[in-house]
Parts: sequence; structure tokens; C-alpha cells
Amino acid sequence: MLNIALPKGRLGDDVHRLFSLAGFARGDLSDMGRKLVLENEEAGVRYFLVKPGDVAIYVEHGAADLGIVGKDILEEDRADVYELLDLNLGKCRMCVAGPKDFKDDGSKVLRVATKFVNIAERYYASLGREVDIIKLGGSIELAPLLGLSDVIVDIVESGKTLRENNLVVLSEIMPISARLIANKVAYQFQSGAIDNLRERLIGVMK
Amino acid sequence: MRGDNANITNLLAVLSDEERTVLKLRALFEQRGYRRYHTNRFEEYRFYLENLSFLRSEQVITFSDLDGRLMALKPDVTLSIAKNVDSSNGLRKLYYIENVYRPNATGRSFAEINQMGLECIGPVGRKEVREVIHLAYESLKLTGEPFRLSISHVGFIAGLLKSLRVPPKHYAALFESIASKNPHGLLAAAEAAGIGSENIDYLKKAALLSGEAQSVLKQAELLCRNGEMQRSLNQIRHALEGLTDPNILVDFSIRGDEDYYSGIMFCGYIEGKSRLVLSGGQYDNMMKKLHKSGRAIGFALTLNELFGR
Repeated sequence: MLNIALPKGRLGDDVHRLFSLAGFARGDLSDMGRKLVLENEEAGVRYFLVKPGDVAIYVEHGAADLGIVGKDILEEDRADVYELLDLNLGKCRMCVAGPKDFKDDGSKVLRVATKFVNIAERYYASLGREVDIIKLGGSIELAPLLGLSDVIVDIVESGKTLRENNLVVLSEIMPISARLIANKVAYQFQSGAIDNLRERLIGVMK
Repeated sequence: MRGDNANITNLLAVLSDEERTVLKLRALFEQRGYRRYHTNRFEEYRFYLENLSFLRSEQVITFSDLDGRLMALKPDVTLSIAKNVDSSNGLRKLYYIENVYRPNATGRSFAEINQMGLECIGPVGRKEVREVIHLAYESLKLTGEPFRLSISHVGFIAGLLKSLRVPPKHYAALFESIASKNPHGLLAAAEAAGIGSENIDYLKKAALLSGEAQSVLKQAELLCRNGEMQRSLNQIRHALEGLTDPNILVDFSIRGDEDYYSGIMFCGYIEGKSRLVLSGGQYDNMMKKLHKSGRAIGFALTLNELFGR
């Protein structure tokens, strides 16, 4: 039996649909109600619904063999797992955004507001730019408007939220999408089943 | 005598399963001529500062000794043994049971980690490499749990990248994708490194090879493009001589920092544990870096992992 951690919410629904197409799930995830575990004995899989930010933790600690997680969370947490497949779902970009007329002339320490502290730190370290990182829990777009920060590092999907707040993308850090990850120990013992699942997912993605 | 035996039986009855396993491992190592080694309690911090990339984490517990020197609680045993053991008069076969101090899994605080391992230092040849691999295999086997021993060789991927004339500045990104068995990441890194499309499928196939040892060795044989790749397969084969067990795998995603490691690398897994329980390899390059003569190979078992969940 493969234990799979799925992220709650829209991405989890999309992923579950993909797993259904590949023959690893039945029905609709929304029929689960308040249940958090869903078993499909025939296909040899059991799904847990967890918070998107917790998926990699379940997998790294071996509570789940596999998980579906956004690349943003994977990069931020640097989880020690195998990253077996890009599912091409939940696509967006990790970007630096700021006011349209903002120019970083390097004359003072750049103030960066973000939820993704590690990604932002690594990005600016790679540029050799000194920054003050300001960690926020949400509504990151407010920070430059209120003068809390010069720029933000955040996920950009359509860019609508940025436009509504008079912000623009200043540079792209990396593309983001959902990834299939595996616990490194579980993979050694279930590589046959895991590789089969991956191949079948690839088959229905095309 | 009979009274003594009864006493020993009584004593053994007191031991927990964990203590029995440690004793069995000690007996196994002693039988093969390995002798217990006690490392210094502390090392100077600057020693680790010079070898940060060997450590899993740059975080080390430090304190000022009474003479003002900045000292560290050992985050690792192998570095200390490689530095302190004199093998100029021949082969040294040592084992240890020591605590090391590293950040825990959450990265929020330090943990005391109990390690048991062995090191073989000096004129290490094929015979010694094979002995150490066999000891790693037997160590995993005597736990009585379902296990896998996975072997790699740093020369296979290194030779592969040389055959594709990849500029070294792109190695890090390629290694990262190979280590996480990440085919899409490898594709992106290969494109960034300017590897032509005719070679990308070959790279993906060869670099991501893993599975039952004999079957992977056969497949890898067909993918060799230079002497370095061929030699690394030969060395894996020699190391595995006399071991036929489907629980032995070959997996080229295992690799170590080339400043320290050279040759064979390996990892051990026990079913149901969250992390690997055994890791080891040949570290001739570390010996060079420490200005020591001779070669070296060893492995460590993380007892906290082995006896934890």
C-alpha cells in the first residue's frame, strides 16, 4: 500500500482527478466531507489530505511514502526527498515585484517582504545583494504600498493582484508547479509500485 | 565456570534489544580485526571551519576552552579519525561508538546523535574495500529487519559528465537533480549546460539508473563511454564479489562531495524508518586534504535512526 499525502484545496482536487485518470483513484475528493484519509485498496493507494505546506514534512519524515507539493514549498523547506515528476499543475512563477517606477540603484540595503524567506535569501545571496528580509504571513502586496518594504518576493499566477495594487514583476526567480515527491527510504522498498504510478501519471498527462 | 556462565546469562537477560544489537555489531567488527577507537572529546573549531563542506550542516556547537581556544563538540567522527590516526606503519582498522552533535531534523535545535561506525585507513586495496562493503551488508542484516544496501561510485557520473564535455560550473545543478532523482530538473540543468538534445536522453538514462545491483550493472555496462565509467563499474563489481542478494542495489544518485570522496559510496536503509541508517564511502580525497598519506574507507550507522521509528 502506497501512502500519498495530497494538499488540501484546489491543487489537491486537480491532482486527485489526474490520479483518477491514471486509475489510482475513484470518485471526487469533494465527496470526502470531513474525512482526511481515503483508501483505494484495489489500486493499492491511501490518500491523506493535509495542509499544502505540510506535505513535504509528511513525506520527509516517512509518514507518507509519496506526496504532491508545490515547487515553492519544496524550495523553501529544502526537504530531503526525491522529486520524481513535474505534474505541470498549479503553474505559476516565483517573482520579485515592486512599484512600476522602482529602480534598485544599490545605494542602500534592499527591504524585501515575503512569505518565502529562504528562497528570497538564497536569490539575493546569489546576486551578492544585501537585503533585509521581512517575513509576512499574507497580503504581501501591501508591504511596498505602505512603505514596509521596497519589493516583495511572491508567487505570481495571472498577475491580477499585482496590477490591482499597482505593482509589476521586476524579475522572475523560478517557475513553480506541482511535483510528485517520494520518501528516500520508502522508495528503496517500493520502487516498483512508485515507478509504475509515475509512468501511468506520465501516460495520462500527455 | 558454570557459575560464571549462569552469571553471564543473567547479565545478557538484562540487555535491551538495542544493547544486544550494538554488542552483535561490536562482535562482528572485532572478529574482522577492527579495534575500538575513542576520539578526542573536543576538536578545535577551526578544524571544522576548514572542512565545512564535508559536514551535513555548518552549524556546530562551540565554546571557549580555558586557554581561550575556540573548541567544538564533534559534529562528525570520520574527520577526527582521519586527522588523528597514524597509518604510516600499515593498515589501521578501527571502529567507534560515539556521540556527535548536529542540528536535529527540524533545524530548530541541536541533537545528540549516537553513531557507530568503522574506518579502514592506510594502504587500502580492493580486498579492504570489499571487506568494508561486506561488513556494511552484514551490519544491516543482523538487525533482522528488511533492508537495502545501495552502492554507487563517484567515477560513474563524473566520467559521464566528462564524456559529454560539460563545463564544471554546471556540475552542481546537474548533481542536485541526479541526487533527487529529478528527471525534469536534470533536463533543465542539461539544457542550461549546453548538452545537445542527442545526448540528453542518454544522460537521463545513465544518471538516473538504479535498482537491483546485477541488473543495473549490466545496463550501465552498455552505457559506458570512457575508461572512468568502466573502471567505476569494475570497482563496484569487485566490492560486491561474493554477495548475491536482491536487497543489494546500485544507485548512482548517491554521491558525496568530491573534495572528500573518491570511489565507492554506499547507503543502507531499513524498511519503515524515515531516514537512511547507514552511510559510507571511500574518502581518499579527504586524506589528501588533511595531508595524510594512504587511502581510507568507512561507514557509520546512526543508532538513533536504527532504534527510532
